[in-house]
Amino acid sequence: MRPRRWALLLSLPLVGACELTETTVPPGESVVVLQSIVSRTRGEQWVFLEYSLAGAVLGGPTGSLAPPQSPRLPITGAFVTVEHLGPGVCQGRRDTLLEAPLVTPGALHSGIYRWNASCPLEPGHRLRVRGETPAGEVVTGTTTIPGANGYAIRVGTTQAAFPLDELGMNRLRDTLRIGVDPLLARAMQIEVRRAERQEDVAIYVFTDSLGISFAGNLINPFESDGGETVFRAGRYYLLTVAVTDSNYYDFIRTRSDPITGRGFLNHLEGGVGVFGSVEAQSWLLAVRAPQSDPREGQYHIEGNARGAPVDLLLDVYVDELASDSTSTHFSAFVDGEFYLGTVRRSGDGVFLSGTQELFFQFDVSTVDGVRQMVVRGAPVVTTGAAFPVEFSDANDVHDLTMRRVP
Amino acid sequence: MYITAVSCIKRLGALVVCLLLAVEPAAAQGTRVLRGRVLAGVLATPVSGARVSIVGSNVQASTDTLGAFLLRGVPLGLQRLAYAGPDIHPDTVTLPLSLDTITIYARQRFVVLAPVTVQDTFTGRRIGMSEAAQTSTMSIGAADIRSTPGLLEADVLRTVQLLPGTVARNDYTIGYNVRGGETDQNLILLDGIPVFNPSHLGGLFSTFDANAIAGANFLTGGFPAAYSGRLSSVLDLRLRDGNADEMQWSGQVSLLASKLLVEGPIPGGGTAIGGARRTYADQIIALVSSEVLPYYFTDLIGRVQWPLGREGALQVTGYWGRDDLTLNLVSGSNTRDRVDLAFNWGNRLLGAETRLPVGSGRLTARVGYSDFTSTLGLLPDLVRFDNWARLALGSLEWRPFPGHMHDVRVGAGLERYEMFYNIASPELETRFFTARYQPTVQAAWFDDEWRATWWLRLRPGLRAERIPGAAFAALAPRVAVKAFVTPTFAFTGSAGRYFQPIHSIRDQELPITIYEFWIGADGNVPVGQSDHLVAGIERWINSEWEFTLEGYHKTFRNLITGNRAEDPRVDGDEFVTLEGEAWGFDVLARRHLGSVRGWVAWSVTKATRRFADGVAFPPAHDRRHTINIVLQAPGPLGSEMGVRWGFGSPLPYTPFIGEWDHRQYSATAHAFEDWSREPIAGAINSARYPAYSRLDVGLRWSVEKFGGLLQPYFQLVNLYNRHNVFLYFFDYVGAPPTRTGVSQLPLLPTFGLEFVF
Repeated sequence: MRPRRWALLLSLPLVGACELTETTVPPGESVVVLQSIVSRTRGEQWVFLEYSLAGAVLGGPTGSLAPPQSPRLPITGAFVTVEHLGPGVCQGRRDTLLEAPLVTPGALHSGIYRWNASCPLEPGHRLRVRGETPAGEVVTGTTTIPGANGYAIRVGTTQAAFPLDELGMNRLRDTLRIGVDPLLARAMQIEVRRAERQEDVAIYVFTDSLGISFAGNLINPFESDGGETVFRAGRYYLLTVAVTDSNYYDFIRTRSDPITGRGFLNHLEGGVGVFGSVEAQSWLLAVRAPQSDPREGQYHIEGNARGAPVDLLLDVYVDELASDSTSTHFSAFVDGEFYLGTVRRSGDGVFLSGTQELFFQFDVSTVDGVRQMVVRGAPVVTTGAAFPVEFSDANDVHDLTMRRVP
Repeated sequence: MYITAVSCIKRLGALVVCLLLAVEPAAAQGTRVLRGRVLAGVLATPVSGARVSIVGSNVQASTDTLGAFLLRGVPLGLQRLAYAGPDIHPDTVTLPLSLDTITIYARQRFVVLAPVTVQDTFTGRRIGMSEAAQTSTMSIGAADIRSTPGLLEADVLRTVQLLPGTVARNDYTIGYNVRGGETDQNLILLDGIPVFNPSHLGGLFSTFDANAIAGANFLTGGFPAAYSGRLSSVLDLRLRDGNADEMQWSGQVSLLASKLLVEGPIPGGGTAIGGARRTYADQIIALVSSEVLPYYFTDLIGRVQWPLGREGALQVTGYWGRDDLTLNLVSGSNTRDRVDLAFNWGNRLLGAETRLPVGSGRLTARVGYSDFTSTLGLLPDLVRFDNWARLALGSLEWRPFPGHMHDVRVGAGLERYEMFYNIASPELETRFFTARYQPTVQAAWFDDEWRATWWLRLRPGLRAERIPGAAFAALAPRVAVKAFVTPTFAFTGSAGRYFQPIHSIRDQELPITIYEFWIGADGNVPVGQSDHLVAGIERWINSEWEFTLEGYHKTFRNLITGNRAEDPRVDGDEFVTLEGEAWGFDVLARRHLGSVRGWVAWSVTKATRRFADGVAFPPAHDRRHTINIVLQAPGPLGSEMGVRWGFGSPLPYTPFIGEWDHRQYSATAHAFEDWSREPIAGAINSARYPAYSRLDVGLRWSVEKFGGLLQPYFQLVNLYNRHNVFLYFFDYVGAPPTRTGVSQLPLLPTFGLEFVF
């Protein structure tokens, strides 16, 4: 059964019915686009200023994380200010934003304007942004900083005591419950990401209910063929809860329809986009599950590398959804020490069915950046006897031993 | 307002009584009363709309839908009764002296094209010209529906799209706009019961099995007082009665679906007809491959009727339809729940109508239930959108003097709606949106078909409506007039006020209608209102050519469209109101008899809408000129041929002036991490697509084989393969920018087989 091909079959009559033609049309109208989200708990803030795509000039690429990546058609040399409308001690203060240093080669500026919120931003404070382009176009917008009287983050019966608190989660038993007591907040954005790879998004949900729950055994049915486990045992996840103002609420909940062109709720004057604000807090989740597969459990890696002892403990959990007849995927917590120091991370690996090989990798942050450590060995022995593994850091390979802890 | 309206309703009741007293004729000396029925042919099926008259006198009447008539003032002595009617040959009979009732078995005027009886409706139309003042009415019969080339198989709503006054925005929807109105302003009745969303497969096909339909009356404006609920049109579909003599099986196999229709007599002297239809592509694909097509639609339709006493009848109509798309995304296990992507929707309908003689008149009672349900989601519990619209109704209508100079109808009705929306995630223990609307409509009406003089027909009417939940009560006067210059040439006109208690919040600018999202009037949602003014002429030549020209002007108040800025926490802001108007004219030339039959319809419309802030724009259905030519004629190789050519002047659309990167913010990284390109729209509907045209040809053969009748057919849709634009997509990322057009249906050959045993 290959159910995903149904879409092709279903669409065949309509595909046959569609005659596609492409013609050149005159350039449209350039519109100033301003996008800025003020995060109350962050020091550095920024404003994106760019022109809409009108077909007059070719837009450049835009990266996956911006900033630092620039917009396609940055407006450089603009005069951008943020005014504190009050209340608070900074009422009346106007910060002039500095354009970020160049990122795109060949471009003088980036279209990203930065400022540091040296004045404390409290819930209820109002800010006004004003951007004036070299061509004289002016775009303005205001936001009211949101906040919360409290966050109730619970996993099972355990409630987080403070931001960045670590909560253990049994994915087959527990439910993550998030509640917010809002203070001038309109909605809530929930993000759950791999703690070590934040671009790996497990949950990105937006709701105005200010309360939501996620069962530990939740499946994302749209990822992979047959769904993907949202909370994989053996992983650390970073949970971020952001309460938002009404501008950001409208910015994220509305889109312009691709046929009628209508739908987006714009609260800016003189341009399109958003000037919104959020308050974000984060917590750490350590997801576990009962270990029933004979290959699951704790493994001890020991030996010497670069003249330093290696003493790492892997706590391995198999993921049912990510496995097939040739390979079994797993995740594992890594605790211990080796030549880069103390490590407390999680990583992913795979057992290969044919050769009984094991591959496992985890990332370590160092002052030089993120380094990827790989453990590889065969055949895997689950009886408690030691078996050899390679422990590699780029091209630096070390021979170690690994054994399952009874 | 409320008190005033209640008073008005009371006054209306008094007015009705007064009028009844006023029109009650004095008993005539030397005359008698004659009751009768006109039945057609060997099936003895009632003939409605037939005209009966006493030769040499002014005594005349028309039959109702049961074929019954009542003549007062029939002179004593030997008389001859003349009759003529739809689908029957005109003739005369001698009245028995000793009886005051008569049953006329008329010779049927039809061509048997099994499985349904194909009837021409010219006689009914011709008599309607003489008898009825009502304007803006067109009747289509089973033959019209079946012979009009359609997409894959005959479709009653596709035929309606070709009638004067209608605009079909594209090939992919059975929705239609009537005289500048939106698609949600069309009331579609199946044996008198409204159907909320009569479409399958994303609006591509209608829910009605064309072979089960006897015919339809399509009213595009100025409709009489008995009709209400929508602002722009009424499509009154009637199911066939079923074969009264023997069991009959018929069916069809097309590229779309297979269907079977069974009909025949039932105990108690009644008849029954029932049919089932289902698409089968999913089953064929499952048989011949490992692929899965997780979609099908199916429907059941049926009607039974029994005679009650000598002149009464009871009929029960039912319909059930379902579209189902279910795709398993995640299979269940001990540690995880099954997840299906599911989208299903459908209509259900059950209605009963009884007609009983009461005194010299006739009482018609109707009760019915109709609903539409839809579920979309990741089921069973991840996230789901549930929507339903329900209607329970009951009505009573009394015709005290059918067939008299005043044919009065007095009625009252009650409609109870409920619309419900819920978006929730049981798995996430959260509810995103909930809304419920429960309007109740109380109505009373008075309607008089008044044959004032030989040259003047009037149809005054008044309808009172009250919706307590919306604090609404109002009177809706209606009038139609027909003034004859000659027996075959008349000036016509009508005017009326119409209310609509339920609306669709679907964006009417979108070109596709999967289904409408209905909401009902309450304290926040207003009742829609439209005033119609119609004037025209009607001319017949040689009793076979019909020409009509009607000009109209309509106003629209309290139209609504979805409010994208609505706050889910606030009830009543889900929409914004619109006003507007439309004017235009419709021209119809129709030949009812002869080897080449059909019609030419030309409609001219100009429609405008205004938001509350005064911004005015042409709605997306503002097509200025629509021409449809529909012909039925002998075809090659002994076939019967149906030809349809349609032309539509350009429809408006909203051009885009650019695009922007709508970014996605990561609160974790405090940065934008993704984006989606979105259009920046220009002025609403300030540009227009190219003109539309399409030629369809269908051929049908009849072969007697295996003791039955086989009818293979072959159709070519869009014969000259014109690339009619469906919509445009713009790309402003590159330089220069480009526009991509997506076309409507290309040349599409289809075929199938109908059979009857």
